[in-house]
Amino acid sequence: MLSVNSYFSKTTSSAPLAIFRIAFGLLMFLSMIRFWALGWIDKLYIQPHLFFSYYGFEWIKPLGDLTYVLFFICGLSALFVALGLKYTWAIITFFLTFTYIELMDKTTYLNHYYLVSVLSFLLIFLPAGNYFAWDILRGSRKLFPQIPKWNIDAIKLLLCLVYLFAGLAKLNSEWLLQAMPLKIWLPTKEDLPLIGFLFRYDWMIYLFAWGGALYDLIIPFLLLNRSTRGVGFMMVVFFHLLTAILFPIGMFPYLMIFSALIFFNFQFHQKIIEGLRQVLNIKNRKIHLIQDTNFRHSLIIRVKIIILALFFLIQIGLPLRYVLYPGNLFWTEEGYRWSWRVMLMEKAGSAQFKIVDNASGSWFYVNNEDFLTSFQEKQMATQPDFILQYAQFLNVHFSQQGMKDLGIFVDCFVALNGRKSARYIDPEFDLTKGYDSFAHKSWILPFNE
Amino acid sequence: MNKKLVIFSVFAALCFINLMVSCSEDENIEVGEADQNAAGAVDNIDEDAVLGEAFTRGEMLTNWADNIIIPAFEALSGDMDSLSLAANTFTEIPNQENLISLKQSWLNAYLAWQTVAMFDIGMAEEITLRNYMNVYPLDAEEMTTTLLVGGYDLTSVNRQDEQGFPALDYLLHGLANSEPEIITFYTDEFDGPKYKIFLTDLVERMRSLTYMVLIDWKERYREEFIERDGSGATESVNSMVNAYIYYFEKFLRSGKVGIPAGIFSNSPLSDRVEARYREDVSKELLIKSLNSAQDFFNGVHFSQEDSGMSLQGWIDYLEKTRDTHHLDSLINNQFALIHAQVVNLNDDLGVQVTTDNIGMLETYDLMQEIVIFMKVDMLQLFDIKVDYVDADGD
Repeated sequence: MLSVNSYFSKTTSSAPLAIFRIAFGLLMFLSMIRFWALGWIDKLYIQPHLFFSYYGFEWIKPLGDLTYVLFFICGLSALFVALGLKYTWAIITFFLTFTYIELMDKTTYLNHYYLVSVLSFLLIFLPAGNYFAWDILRGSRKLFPQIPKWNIDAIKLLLCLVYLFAGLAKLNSEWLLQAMPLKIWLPTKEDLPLIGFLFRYDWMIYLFAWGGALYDLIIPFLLLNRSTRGVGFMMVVFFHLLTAILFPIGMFPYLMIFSALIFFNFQFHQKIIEGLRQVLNIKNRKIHLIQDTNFRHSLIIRVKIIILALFFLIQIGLPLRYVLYPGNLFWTEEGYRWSWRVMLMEKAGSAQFKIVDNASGSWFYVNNEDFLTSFQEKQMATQPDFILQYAQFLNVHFSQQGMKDLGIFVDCFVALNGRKSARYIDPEFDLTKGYDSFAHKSWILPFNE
Repeated sequence: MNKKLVIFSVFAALCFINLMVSCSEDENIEVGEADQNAAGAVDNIDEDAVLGEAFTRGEMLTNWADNIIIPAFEALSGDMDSLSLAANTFTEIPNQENLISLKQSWLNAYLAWQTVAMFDIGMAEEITLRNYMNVYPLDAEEMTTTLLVGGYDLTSVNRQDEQGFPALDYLLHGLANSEPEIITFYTDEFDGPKYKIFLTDLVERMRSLTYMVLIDWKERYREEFIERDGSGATESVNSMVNAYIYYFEKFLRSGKVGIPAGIFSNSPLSDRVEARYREDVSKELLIKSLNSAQDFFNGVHFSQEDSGMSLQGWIDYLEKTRDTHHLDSLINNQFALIHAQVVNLNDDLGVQVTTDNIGMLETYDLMQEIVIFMKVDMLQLFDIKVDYVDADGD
């Protein structure tokens, strides 16, 4: 107990957290601008007729044209976070607006959006606005040159968990023995300048698969260990830039690269801050420094620690929850999200819905184009919870059109990681009888190797 | 400090390379081409080490453009010229003989259309050729009003279902029950000239649109089409394959078979068949378009005399290094099954859906299986994203 107490009393420089805040805020600000400029707000959140909700978050929907305001507030709060202006409010606003955006439609689910949500939640509880921040210059906030060491360790822990779970997820036969799905993806990059020719060789694809898994598993240790940190960071830069070239993954590589800076010691961050001070011409005003911090013993800090302990328990539990489900994880995708499973599978599907009038026996097919964007249709056809939610939407839609006592069935075929397509959903199962829950969906047909 | 400096220089250098690589991937076609040659050289040296016999997108694109697409448009353009001639002859002397010859020219051109309908790319896509050539069902009532009032604008989006082959179908077969009666529409003292002018305008528009696409292919687009031989989502192969599957799914499977069979509507809709006024050619048109789709899949030249690289050959090439399912044979066998099924249908699919819709529904189901083979299995093998959406992945 004593050692736990002494760990939580340890302090360190505020500089790394300040740099992390600035990098994170700026990257998020840029990514919001990018998202807007590419016209994705309209395409993903305004144009579609219906949106796929996460279980339990059905009340979160896009706000029509106000969605732009939501993105504006989100981007602005990211900028405020970077500047350290009204930090606490800014990071809370950013977390809420960004998470709201992500919950609007699970069609766009990406692990790295989830990482942003999770990181920003964590940042709410960390004093990242107490050093090298606008609030300090204005004098509206106390300057803490020293903060508890666990504040910085919390971010490191989260990043390590991301890498480790991503690495563990790659330890499966598809990835290691068949080099799938890289064997599908990489050969099409043959025409890239300089490195394209590499992907003509089978062994090179295996090297990428094994290298990628190894990278994810060892990088936390390389970054944590002082003597290997430099090498580790170079690997981080190399790996993420390579993925940026090979795959359309947006801002994610840059987020991971800048986040990894947190592993460097405070002198390094202090130098960056001095550099920024000179460039931005900010005078190092003599502000009364608060050396003796009373935060160590405050009740609020204790509450924060308890909340974050629970947070990390959840972070460890979520990626492991898949063991509670029967069947092949890649096939059913039950317990797949929120688990840092990146680039693990190539899945394609086709789903044709049949609406049956139970009274007369007459039936017709649904033209998915009438209700879904092509992106939504693509995502829907390979994920059971989407299929169910879409069927429920169709049920409401055709009931409102005056049909009574209808049944909804789906002819759905899915191909996973280069296997021949196979029937995915029990075609005899009436989806109007299905309901969403965390329980296993028995109407998903078993996976046949 | 020195170590940090090294790290940062490496970081900066990699950032720069990254930027360079991703830029040249997107825009610089010339660099891409030079690289292609370099890759070709590598190919010659290491032939054994590399994945067997080389497949290149460029070869496939060249085969498509030179041996399939351009000849098909050339043939259609020739048939359009004949149609135009026949229409002029008929409007000059509206008699039965000229009507019969005009009908034959219409059918020839309509069959030729089936060989190009899937090539919704380049100029055809830009001017939405398909929407002005073959939107059915025709709005005959509105078209008649348009025709009689005059001063119409056929380029208007609202007039798409009042022109093209379906409009000619109506004007040549649907105005009345017998040929002499139909001819009276053109010889009528008051309205006759209006019918003649409208008929001529329709044919001329179809002819000029076809010509526009053909000329663009020959003089400009062919080069661009073949040069854009990368694997990116906006490159030619991806666009063409997506256009092909979209055509098969929406226009062949749903348009010609599914919608008349009532699969989206609870009950058969015999008035939704292609060429409904002519009545006895909808099966022929379906067979022609099926054959064209299969020929494209197999890279068979328009001349039918030879064949070159296409989707079938590409599948074959890729399956050499993976678990093989013989996807190309699966697809060709399925085409054969569809063919065997379609042959037994009534010449008039409108009659088929009213007398024995089961035969139509079975045809649809067989075609749906091809859609799954192509859209799910084939696209995964090719690593082509269906209806590519520009969004991030992870």
